[in-house]
Amino acid sequence: MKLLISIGSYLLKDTCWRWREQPGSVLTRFVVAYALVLPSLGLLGAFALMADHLEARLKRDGIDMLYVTEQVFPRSDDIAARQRHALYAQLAEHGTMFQLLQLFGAAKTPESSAARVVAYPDASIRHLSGVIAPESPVVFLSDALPAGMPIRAEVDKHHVEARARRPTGTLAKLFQENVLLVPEGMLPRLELNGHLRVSLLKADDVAALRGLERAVRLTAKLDERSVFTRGSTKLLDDLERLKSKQARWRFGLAVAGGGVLALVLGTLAVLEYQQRAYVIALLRGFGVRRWMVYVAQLLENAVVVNLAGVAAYFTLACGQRALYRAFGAGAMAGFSFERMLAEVVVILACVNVGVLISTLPALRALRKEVGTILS
Amino acid sequence: MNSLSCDGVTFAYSKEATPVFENHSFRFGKGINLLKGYSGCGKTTLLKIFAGYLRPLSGTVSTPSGLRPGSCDYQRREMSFLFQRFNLLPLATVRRNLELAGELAGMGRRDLGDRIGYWVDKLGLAPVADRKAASLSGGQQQRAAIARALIKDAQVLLLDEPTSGLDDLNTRLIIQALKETVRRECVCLICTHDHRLENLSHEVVDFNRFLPVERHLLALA
Repeated sequence: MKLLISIGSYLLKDTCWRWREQPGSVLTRFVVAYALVLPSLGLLGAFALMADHLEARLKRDGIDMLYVTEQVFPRSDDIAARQRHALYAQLAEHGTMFQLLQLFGAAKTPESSAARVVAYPDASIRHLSGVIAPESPVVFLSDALPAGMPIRAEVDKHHVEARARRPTGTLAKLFQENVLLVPEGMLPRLELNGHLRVSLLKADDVAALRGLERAVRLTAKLDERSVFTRGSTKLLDDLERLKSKQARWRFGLAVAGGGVLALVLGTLAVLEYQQRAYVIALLRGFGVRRWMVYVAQLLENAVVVNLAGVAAYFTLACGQRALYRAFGAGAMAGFSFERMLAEVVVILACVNVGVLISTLPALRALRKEVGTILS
Repeated sequence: MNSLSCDGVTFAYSKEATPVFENHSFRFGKGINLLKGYSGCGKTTLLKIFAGYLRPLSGTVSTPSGLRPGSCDYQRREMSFLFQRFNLLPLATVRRNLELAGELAGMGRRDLGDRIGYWVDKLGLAPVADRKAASLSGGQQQRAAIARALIKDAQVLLLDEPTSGLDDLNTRLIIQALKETVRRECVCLICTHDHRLENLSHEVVDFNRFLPVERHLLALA
């Protein structure tokens, strides 16, 4: 142990001296590693942020929800036959469903500007139990007004009494503006003018959601109706594609980074070994084992390269934080260490493999006999 | 086995080069053995083979302890080598150079401290003991290198031109040190052209007996 410390202290001193006397050598290694790690981490970080963004959208929209919007024209059979509830009845066993009718009209109140008018069928009452009550079937959904406040709204030349409510859950996701929610049949003339039918299908799981979406599209195609669907399946597909792309890039960048670093550091190590051959041979002449000299060289390169990697990460994190702040998104997490840990570990692991490979020429040179170097 | 010997040794610096030795055998007993010969006749090469710094193409080398010459234990504990160009660690002080050799030989701290003090005084290195080796004069470096070679109780002492280029005073200091060292039982091989060392030796080996002098040198002479 004493021996190791003694040799280690000399090798450390020798390293510090070389760094001071020949800063170009260590700086080259540092800059090469930094220049490789910075863009790699940047790209991988961007993938991670995109994946996070998609996941946040999925969470916000509800991963198991499918929103189907279709226009119902005034003269359509649908209105005449009032068969809208039966439309997706077959799908009910694959999840739950409720519908809303967004009428082509606006509600006006003295307190706020125009609000949308949405009618709910009887079948949907149980899904709206948190918002409507038997004593107040008409509600005014608003983020701004205090809950329970009586509102007098004017719709289609009718005056309607409503209670203010805060939109929650699915309603909050569906409507970002003020909405007057009325029972179906309360505004018959407006309903007969046509409306947008919004069907919300909640699947039991993601696989069922895909099935539901396919079924809705097929039904619409058979009925020759045009429907617009919005669900998480597309986002899920995007997320899967992104993640597979992320994995490919992670692998590619890590291998490329490690390979280039191995080549550059290997060349530098050979040149440097030629300069240090004398001291190394001398130590070997005293009986210092080859592996000790080799490990010292390996550690030196590893320290330089890992420092460069850490510096690259901090440059990226600080740069991104400054950008976020400049664009008023300071609260966003950005390249936080927790988020980037996996990427940093992957890149640094490959870069360290590169360091290991780069020392192979020096390892070969270490096999040269001491007597041919020292005279 | 108390001698240093090689048997049927063949050595060349590369496969294409003419061998320096071809199937030669040497045996050196305890005491000071002086190797004399023209430059380039292979004295230093033989020393390096005995130190384990060069590996012969064929033949065997035997050390007094029986350890292989290339083994770390032999090089750390049992053998001391003085290079022609001293080869001190340039960034280390004279004291640190001596310490490193002693520590590698497994000497105890107190013993090592005493011995460093002794040799530093004996060879007149006290004023420069804490200076870096690279900043010393040639004579000081040579004495420091001798001190480093003598710091451990090596069974095999291999000295390559220990007094070349030194004045009489420095040479006398080194001769005294060598005389003191060989009082204990060790095999000491000295390669030299210096006639001032001839009285010191127990045995003189003329290398020219074994190896042909380079013809072009003879022609020039």
